[in-house]
Amino acid sequence: MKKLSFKIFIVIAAGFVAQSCKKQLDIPSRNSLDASLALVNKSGIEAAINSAYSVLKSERLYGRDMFSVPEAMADVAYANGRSSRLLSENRNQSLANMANWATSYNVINEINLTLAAIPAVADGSTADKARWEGELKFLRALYFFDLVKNYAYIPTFTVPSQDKGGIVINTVGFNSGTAASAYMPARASIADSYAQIMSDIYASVSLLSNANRGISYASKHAALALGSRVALYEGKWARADSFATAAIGLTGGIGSMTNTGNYVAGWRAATHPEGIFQVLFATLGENLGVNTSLAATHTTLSAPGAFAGVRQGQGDLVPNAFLLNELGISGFNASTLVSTSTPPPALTYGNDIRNRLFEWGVNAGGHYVECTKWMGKNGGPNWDNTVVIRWPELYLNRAEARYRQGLEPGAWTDLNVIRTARIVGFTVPVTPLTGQALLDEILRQRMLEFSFEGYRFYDLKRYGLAINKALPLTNLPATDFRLLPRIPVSEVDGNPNMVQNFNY
Amino acid sequence: MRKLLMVLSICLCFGNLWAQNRTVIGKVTDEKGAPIPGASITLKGTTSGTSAGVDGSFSLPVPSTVKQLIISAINYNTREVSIEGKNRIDVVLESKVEKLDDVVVTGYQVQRKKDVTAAITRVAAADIDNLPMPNFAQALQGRAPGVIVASANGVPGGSLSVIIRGVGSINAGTVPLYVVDGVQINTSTGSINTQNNPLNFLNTDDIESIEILKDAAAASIYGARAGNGVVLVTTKKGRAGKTRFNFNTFHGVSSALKVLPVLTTQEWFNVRYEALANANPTSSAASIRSTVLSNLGLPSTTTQGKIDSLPTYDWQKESFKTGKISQYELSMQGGSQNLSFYVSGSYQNIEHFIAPTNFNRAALLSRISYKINDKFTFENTISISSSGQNAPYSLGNTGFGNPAYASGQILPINPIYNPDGTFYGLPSNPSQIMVGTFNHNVMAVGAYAKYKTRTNQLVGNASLTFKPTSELTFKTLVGLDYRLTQDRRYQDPRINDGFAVSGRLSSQSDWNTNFITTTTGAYNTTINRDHSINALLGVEYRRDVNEWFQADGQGFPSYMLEYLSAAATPVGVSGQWSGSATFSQFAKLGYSYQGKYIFNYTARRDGSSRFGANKKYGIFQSAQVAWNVKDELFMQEVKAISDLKLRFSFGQAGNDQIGNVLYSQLYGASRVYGNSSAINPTQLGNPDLSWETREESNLGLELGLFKNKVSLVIDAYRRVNKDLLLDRSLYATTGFTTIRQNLGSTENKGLEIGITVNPFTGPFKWTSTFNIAFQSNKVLSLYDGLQALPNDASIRVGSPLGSFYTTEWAGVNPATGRGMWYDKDGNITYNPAAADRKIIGNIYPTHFGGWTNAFSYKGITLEAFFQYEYGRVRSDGQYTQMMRMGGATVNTLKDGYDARWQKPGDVTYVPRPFNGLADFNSVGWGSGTRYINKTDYIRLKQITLSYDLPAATAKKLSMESVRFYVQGINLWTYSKWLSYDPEFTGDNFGILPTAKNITVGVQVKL
Repeated sequence: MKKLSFKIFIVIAAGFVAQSCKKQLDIPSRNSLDASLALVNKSGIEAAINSAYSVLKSERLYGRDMFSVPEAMADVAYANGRSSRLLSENRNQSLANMANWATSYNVINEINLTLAAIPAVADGSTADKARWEGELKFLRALYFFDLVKNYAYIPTFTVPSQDKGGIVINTVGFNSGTAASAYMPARASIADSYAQIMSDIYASVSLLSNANRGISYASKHAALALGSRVALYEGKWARADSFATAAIGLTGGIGSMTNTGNYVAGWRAATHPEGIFQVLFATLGENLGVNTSLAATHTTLSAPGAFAGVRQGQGDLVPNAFLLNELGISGFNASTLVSTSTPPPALTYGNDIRNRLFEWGVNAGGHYVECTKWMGKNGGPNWDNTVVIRWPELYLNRAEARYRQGLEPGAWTDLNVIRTARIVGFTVPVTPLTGQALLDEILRQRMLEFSFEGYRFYDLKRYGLAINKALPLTNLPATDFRLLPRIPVSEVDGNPNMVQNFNY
Repeated sequence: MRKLLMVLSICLCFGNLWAQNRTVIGKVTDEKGAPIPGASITLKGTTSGTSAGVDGSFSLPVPSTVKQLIISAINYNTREVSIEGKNRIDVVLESKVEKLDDVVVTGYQVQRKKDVTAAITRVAAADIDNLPMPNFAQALQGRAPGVIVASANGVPGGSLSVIIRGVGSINAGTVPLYVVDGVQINTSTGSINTQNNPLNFLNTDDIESIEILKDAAAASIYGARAGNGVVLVTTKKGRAGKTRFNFNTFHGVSSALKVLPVLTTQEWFNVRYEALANANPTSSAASIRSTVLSNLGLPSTTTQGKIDSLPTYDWQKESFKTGKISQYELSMQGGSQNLSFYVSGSYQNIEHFIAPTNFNRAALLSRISYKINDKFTFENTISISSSGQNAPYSLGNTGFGNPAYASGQILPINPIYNPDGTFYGLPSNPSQIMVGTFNHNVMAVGAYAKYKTRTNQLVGNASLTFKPTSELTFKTLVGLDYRLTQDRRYQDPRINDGFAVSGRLSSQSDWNTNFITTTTGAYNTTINRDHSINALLGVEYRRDVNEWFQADGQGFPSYMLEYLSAAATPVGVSGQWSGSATFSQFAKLGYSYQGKYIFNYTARRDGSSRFGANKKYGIFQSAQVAWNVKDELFMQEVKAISDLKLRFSFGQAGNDQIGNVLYSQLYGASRVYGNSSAINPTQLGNPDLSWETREESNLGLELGLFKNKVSLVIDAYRRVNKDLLLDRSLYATTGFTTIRQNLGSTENKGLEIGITVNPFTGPFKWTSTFNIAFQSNKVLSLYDGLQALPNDASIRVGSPLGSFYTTEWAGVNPATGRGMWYDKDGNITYNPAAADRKIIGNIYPTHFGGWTNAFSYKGITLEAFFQYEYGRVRSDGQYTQMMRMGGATVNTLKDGYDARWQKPGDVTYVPRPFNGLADFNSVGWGSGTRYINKTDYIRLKQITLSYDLPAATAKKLSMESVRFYVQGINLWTYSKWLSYDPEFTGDNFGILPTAKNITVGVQVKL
């Protein structure tokens, strides 16, 4: 009995020892794919491309910041402090800038890795591969461009003594810790940065079909439109002109201009009819929450006219008196912008239809006139689709490019396309504007057309114009260091090749 | 045996007929005077004797040749008593259990205290009796030298940080290994709602002892998991003998330690006006006044008379009420020769003073030991518990519905209730707008939001022990630690956060299955009386798997429908699986010469699924020596010294507290675009990833003086953690920000002193126990010759971990009222730059400990336990937010308001009020060290007054003992901390403050 028990005991004990085989200690992830298996087939590549789009939705990019932060820094908006957000950006404080560095480089690396994997994918057709490459290069161009316009001077206006170069341009992906640890990049020059962006745009123009997969994905149409924008920033006027012309004339492209009759309806639609490329928020689960979505940032309203209703968003960033005046709105208190009377006084609207997207918000520390470009158009608050490129930009880009090439009549024509589409009862003046007045009106139309869409700050930056605001009282010359953000300190520390921006 | 004695005694009675000389009578009792029925009384040198009756008394005929009696009983120490010249003897037997203090549970073994060679602190049951705390780790606070226990906040049953001998890791975890009756506990938490501490499953009153293996040598037998020390918990066991019952209950209240006075409506009007005027020097007085009025929701036509008569509502007072505390427990224990058992059931309920946060737990513990025969013993322990928690609305962030954060900052003009008692300012009523940034009625949120968490836990083990010879023992243990956490997080459609979407619900289930099996073989022998040898060999396998899923929905037709099937819109689903396994072999060899010279060696080889293919296995060793100096002949004459022991140990232990698959290069799948899933690279792999190793030398001295009336334990250590599991920074331009590698080293040094004095042994007893620990820490090296980590500049070679690295606040300029900072040269600046930062203070205390005094006299016992911490600073988030002085539309502190700068020449610590919180061309108001404050405190952690009925009275009531007690927790604190309470971890942002409790209880033993 004793001996038998002992033997049983030994067998049990040995059983546990036997479990020691290596297999027990090999527990791979069940939530993630091993990198070696990720990009080997068509579905893997499609999913990786999806990821490159999905990052556009982040709060740091087209989820909010690309629209709201430059607007807060420019001269058209007021941060009312309702939730204490965007106050320091609105005051143009040091270190309160766009911060799209890490988010963008993260996805650029993905794009680089996916581009490198495409040739070896066995189950992808030549057409598939061309589309993949075209879409990825469009996205890479967009991410690089949003970095360079932000972290570096724009070629049309630089302060040479403070110019520290462009951005880090890297087109080879990292897939080993060793290579990543050893990487000590330097900033490319501004010119080289733009050259890389344009080369990606040229590639996607040639690789993609006119409308490709529609407005929520890259297409030839979107690549042409982006090309006109990049060329305009770079001061390559002829190229900006020809890209815009190609985009305007493209058959089978995406979207079209709205007019004074359907302009407001265009903004209320989930998919903006003028959009050429938008960032799609397909499901409620992708919403950015009640604090920092575009809708929450800009309005307290749940529906047009609901100023007496229930507060929906924070309504942190509102138009200032300067913008409201330019839009032709009156009837508000220009020194405080706020109204505490119930109901607030009626506003008077001029003929510019664009002002119909501005109205009294809900009483939350008083009523403010708010921008309603994003107000739950997808069927609920805080997940509105966001449009990256709209048709009017094509005309305004071309108007400016033509003006800068000395082609004033063409510029005048394009300018009036916009004014006709936006101003009720607009008739083209007999005497065209010329010279500086023409340019000023083109820039003014950009401000009105794209208010709260993140254009104004970069237009001021492109032309070296000072930022002047009454509220909060600001006079920031274009030479001030605060116009460029600080490159994240952790990118510069320990890397002798990396140059920090001026005065940081 | 007992029957045999009875027969023998009957025989003796007959024997008396011819051998009787006299009869000795007497009584056998325990130390407390309780009779020991069945105790055997034997005539020394014979097999004759008798046994005591139910009242402990005996009567025994004694032949004249017999001079001594031997008195023995199960679980008591046997005594020999002289009967020369006596006809009556009353014998007190000492309980063997009381002597448990002489043994110490070490890894996989129990050792005599005398044989212990490493730094182990033992906390016994009596030290942590009847505490209104859900968690035994909380009860360790201040009682174990060198162990910092800190509650993260005041959430009952919430997180605790337990740090043994300081922090040596930068990115790897710092949690000790907890082993309960041989089962290693998983200490991750699974709630999305609240902190459901996994150690809550055990009622502290079911614990027999807690041993803390502090140095690496003591912990080394647990290898790769032991780098942060090991806490061994042993639950109570049944003892053979009479079945005993223990019933205990206590009841009490919890309330706030402190309320922070804030402004009245009129004061706030003033400070807001100043803030706007200072920030807008060109604006007219009328325009500023109208802005302030708009902030208060008043028309610009409001008269001064009307302003002066505006009401003030005290939201803090309304939020900070009292909570109830209660506990009931009943245990039963006993057994026969072959079977012993301990069964205990308990129910505990603790409410926080901010409703509805609470904790309740029903727990059952069952321990059974069955001796199958002389060779085999089967043991089974099962602990089952179910805990329910109402979670706070926010655990410590800036949620506007969180009363701990918001109640002091809601503008005081906002009413709390309507005249009819309904809540004011609900979002469904646009005519009642809560003005100010904090626009949620926190009382309504507390009443309506339903954040509920249930945690069901089972921790159990079964073991079979086989003892083929008296020297050899084999034991196999199979254990399970299973925990299911279910959360329901319902944002009621009536509250602000749920209103817009008609209610929002997240439901989550998270379960953890942690299986362990250990097989050991132990051999103990003594050769030639002087040479004791013990050896232990073991294998262990542990597999720990976590799985969870969560579903979110919104759009509820009614607030009374609060489950997912009523949701109109599904918002999202998610779920994950994660697992790890370790396989280990370990060995120990001990040798002792005459109990004087002791040598121990341990080794463990661990293999872990967490590490790269190249580095899956690691070996950890320790060597320990001790010298019981008192046992030397030359010490026998030194009467003053009753005990003296020196010990030295060196050991290695590992830290594996990192994610499960960090070694591999992965593509994650958590993104979506256009209704399709997406994959993206989430981490760069590192096939060389391996253990972080802790190496430590410990020198210990144990000294007893004057018959151990004074006892002293001193330990000094130096510990180096090397191959740290460190996040090496990568430049973001690589697409990644970090990669986990084994880089760098840290050093911890410390001194721990524990003194116990018990000078009186008569009816008046006084025991005083004091402990203090001194600790210091520094980073020895990083990588690539770096002096600071690129992604965390506060981690610097030569400086301690947990340091603040920022610019120094230079106070307020008396001329202008502007806040000032120092630059790197010590000059004043308003825009400090990165180069102006320096190391300022540390989040870990430099010295800390506790002091217990227990006085007892005739059944009355007073115990007072102080706990203290010095040398720690923390950034005070709550105070920061409450010092905004009209810079935002939130209420602010009265102290700051009274002291604020108002005119040139004012010398004060509060800058001029300024809208937007950053003065012209200046960094923000909270920059640098302005809100980093010392948390130093001394706290009367516990005071207990108890009264035991005299044994005779208890006996009349048919009870063994009856105790009444009153207990206070956190009743008194000395601290200069400015906001609610200095005891917390993290940044003190809107956390539930720690409470003070008073409870009264009664404990009855049958």
